[in-house]
Amino acid sequence: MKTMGILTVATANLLRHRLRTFVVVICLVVIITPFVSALALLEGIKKEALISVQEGADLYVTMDMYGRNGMIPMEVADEIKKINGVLKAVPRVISRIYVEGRLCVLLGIPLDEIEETVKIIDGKLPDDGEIVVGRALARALGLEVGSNLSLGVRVTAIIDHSPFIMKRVYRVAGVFDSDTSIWSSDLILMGIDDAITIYEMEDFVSDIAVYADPTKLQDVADAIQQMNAYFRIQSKSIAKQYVKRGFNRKGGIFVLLYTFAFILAIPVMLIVSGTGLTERKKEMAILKATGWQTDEVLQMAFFENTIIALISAPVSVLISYIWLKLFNGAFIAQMFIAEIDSIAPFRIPVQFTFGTLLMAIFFSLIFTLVGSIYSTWRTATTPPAEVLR
Amino acid sequence: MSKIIICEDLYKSYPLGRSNEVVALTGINLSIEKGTIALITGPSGSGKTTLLSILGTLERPTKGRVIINDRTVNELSDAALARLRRDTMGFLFQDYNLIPRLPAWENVTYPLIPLGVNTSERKKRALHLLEMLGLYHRHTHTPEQLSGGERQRLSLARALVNDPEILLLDEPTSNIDHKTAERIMQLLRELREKGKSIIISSHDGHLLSEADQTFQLSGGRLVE
Repeated sequence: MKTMGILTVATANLLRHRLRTFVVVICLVVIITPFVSALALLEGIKKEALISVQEGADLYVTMDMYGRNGMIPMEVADEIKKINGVLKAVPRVISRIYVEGRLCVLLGIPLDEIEETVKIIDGKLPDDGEIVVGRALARALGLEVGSNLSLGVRVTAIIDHSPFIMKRVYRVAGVFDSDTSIWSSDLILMGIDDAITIYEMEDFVSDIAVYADPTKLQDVADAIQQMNAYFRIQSKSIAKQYVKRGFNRKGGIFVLLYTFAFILAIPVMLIVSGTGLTERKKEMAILKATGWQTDEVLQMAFFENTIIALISAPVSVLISYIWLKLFNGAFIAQMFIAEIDSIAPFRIPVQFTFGTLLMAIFFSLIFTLVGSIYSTWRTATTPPAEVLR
Repeated sequence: MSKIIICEDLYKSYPLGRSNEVVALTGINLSIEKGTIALITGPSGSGKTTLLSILGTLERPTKGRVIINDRTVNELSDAALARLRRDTMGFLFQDYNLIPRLPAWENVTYPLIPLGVNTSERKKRALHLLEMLGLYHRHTHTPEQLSGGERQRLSLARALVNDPEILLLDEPTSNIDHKTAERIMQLLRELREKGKSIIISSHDGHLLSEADQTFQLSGGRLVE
């Protein structure tokens, strides 16, 4: 009953000091919203990355090259296919390529695999000398079915064997849906032979994607490893770990930076929450004079801060939701997604979880507590007559 | 008759800069009987309010002892002092010290919250006191909407709401008309009949006739 009474007083205090309450809530929302947005964005990208890994091959095989992934002979794919339990072994050429100043991902796979990889929304699947591009990239480069796109092709001179780049024109055969994925938004897909030609990697590919019977996965991995000790085999679980580790590190750096921003924001909160402090101190002294104990006054302050946090956090989440969903994370998405402008050309991946809301409440509460609890404690422990004088 | 408050060699000074101090009370020795009206009187600046604050445990003396209900309050913690105020005391401050923008009835109920009294009971008690003090029709008004006299009565209602054993009143009749002052004095007489101890700080000469004990202060000292 006493606690309910104190809660009622805390609520009444916030209503009585409407302007102060409003200003504190606004300040908190301003501080918390970018934080919540970044968390939702990071979670969204992480989730999409994990889905991408999950939907990908079970194993990726490359050659070890000074501890890094190196190109692997294409013929290995045929040998892998013979291993018991292997469902499919797809050689791939995967690289980054600049197209009209824009960094894109070029993926070359056997033509008969392309249909399973993307959903064509316009045009057809590519043949030799043709490509298909993501809708976002098509929009950005003004491409449509039938357009031509020049790509730099590596060539070695016949006379002096010096390498140079010459342009080769590819016809856009189709456009695939890429609005839902940041991974395929800048993707150029072509047949593997064309991709090999571009990089002059005759008979070599970037990796071999292996799809296997889940019950025989370990046996398949062991068998591939036995084929050549220099093969690097990356399983789905390792890829997931890399993704998680990468995002956690990115998230950790962000949280660290934001914590620094929080520290800078604390004096602001102190000033804001101190608005009307004289009147508030007097009110606390009145409570003490009429029999309230220090812990009861602190409890009241805690309730006030909790209510403010419970208002600020959902408002922050709501604004963040609008920012990310309706405005597609304008000006914030570029901090987390590489090579996009202030407004992303595709729908950015976002995930709001209950944890996001809890984090928002937690940080709001920390802020308001840091901003007010010390001054409250100081006032509550000063003799009432001294404060009221 | 037993004594409810005893002061022994009480001093109170306030620091003024690093080396100076203002002495508010010097060597106060007094005892107040239970169930009486005690009047502390004296000119402005004589230390009446300071003495009342110390008797009400709102501040600690610089030196000396205060014994309330056989307990030496100098030795009590802040929490114990707050409990003592909550359970046994009611205050009427000279400048009312009401909580602004809070309805009159709610202002009255605040001392009951730490006692765990439920909302309906709190409201019932507050409205009863406001009716008794002629403020029922103003119970939803905030202190800013009340006159000086009404605020004083509201402050008195708050002082009475926890049915305190000791009532400390600082200038209770200074801002009210004669009729209201008489009404309040009648109420105080009734409280005294019920065994309450009432300590009044005032320079109102009319109250002298009502007091069972009178303490005259001058320059922070008790005058015989």
